[in-house]
Amino acid sequence: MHEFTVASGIVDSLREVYLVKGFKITSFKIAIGELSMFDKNILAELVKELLSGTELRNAKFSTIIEEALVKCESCGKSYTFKELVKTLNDEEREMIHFIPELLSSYVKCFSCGSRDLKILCGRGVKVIDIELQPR
Amino acid sequence: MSYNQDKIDYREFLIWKRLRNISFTIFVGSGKGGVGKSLIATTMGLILTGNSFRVGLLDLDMHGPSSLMILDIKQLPKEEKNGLVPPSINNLKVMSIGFFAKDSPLPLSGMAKREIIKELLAITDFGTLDYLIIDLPPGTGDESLAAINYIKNNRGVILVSTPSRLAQQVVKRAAIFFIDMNVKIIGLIENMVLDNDFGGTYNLARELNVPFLGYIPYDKRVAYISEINPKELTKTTFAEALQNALKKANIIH
Repeated sequence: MHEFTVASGIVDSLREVYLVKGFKITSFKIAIGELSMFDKNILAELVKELLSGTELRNAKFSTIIEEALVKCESCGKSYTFKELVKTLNDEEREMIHFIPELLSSYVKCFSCGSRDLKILCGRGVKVIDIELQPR
Repeated sequence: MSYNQDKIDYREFLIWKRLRNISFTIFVGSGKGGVGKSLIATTMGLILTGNSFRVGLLDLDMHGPSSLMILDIKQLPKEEKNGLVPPSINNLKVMSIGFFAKDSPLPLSGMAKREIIKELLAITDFGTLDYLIIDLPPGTGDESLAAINYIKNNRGVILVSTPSRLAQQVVKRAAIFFIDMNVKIIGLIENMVLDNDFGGTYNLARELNVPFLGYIPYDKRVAYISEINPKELTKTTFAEALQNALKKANIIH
């Protein structure tokens, strides 16, 4: 699991908004796509720890899980994360954790057998709803 | 007050940060499939590490990643604090979608390929490199567009053709694409030359006003790659000709 890489990427990119664009960040949300299979608590702890040593230490943030929805482009059937993940072994889950698009390498549509699967939502980690004030 | 973008893709920042440690990126492309791009990209990596350069190879051929097989890499990337550290062979650090897909099919849409390239560039910790070699797939589709979009500076492309007129026609189209995208053409190579029966790649380079780096003979030992030890690759006539091409391009001396 590469939570630290993601957490430092989030904090560094937010610091860029502060330092280069000149905004103070008051709050933000971290949306964790289900397919990324990140541990919400570990990611939140790491972000909190990394923020504490920076200009953004007072920024408030929350983490939310974005539910995944995957649609078969051949027959139109849609699947949730829970439906898809139960068919995967640990190694396959780890590969999808790193690269969610590989879902179609490891899963076929349960209804028609197609691999033309499109991730509609819930793929990776995003920083959203950023609230700022001028510095 | 809201920032004009109320969301951030942290991967773009990670890519920018990682690229600061890479002096130059060499794309290896063609437009045409089956001209030996991957073999040229991997052998080039081995030649450059043999010349004491710090080199990474990123295989972006999403539908047919072959660098792992050519280099006989079995070891997986290692997960460390700052990202995935790619395994090395002869000091060449190699990253490929092949590590993650294993032998499974790769039915990927254009958008999925762009996401994967962004993810690979963001999570891979190549460290400090003199050269990052990017093995592009045939064509000038999403993989090329995404790579060019993320790697905006200090970049150039080597285009691989064969004596076939068909290959040259497709390479010409690819060359015009890279010129239009402001990617420096390092030069054109004519690969798979049989019995000194040269094709028109030299004339194509003159027509496009870009360097011609030379001819590479068809090398039976290399053609049957599964029978050659990757460590022996740099000792083939194929590698010798490629080495001369890299000298002509002033990449090695």
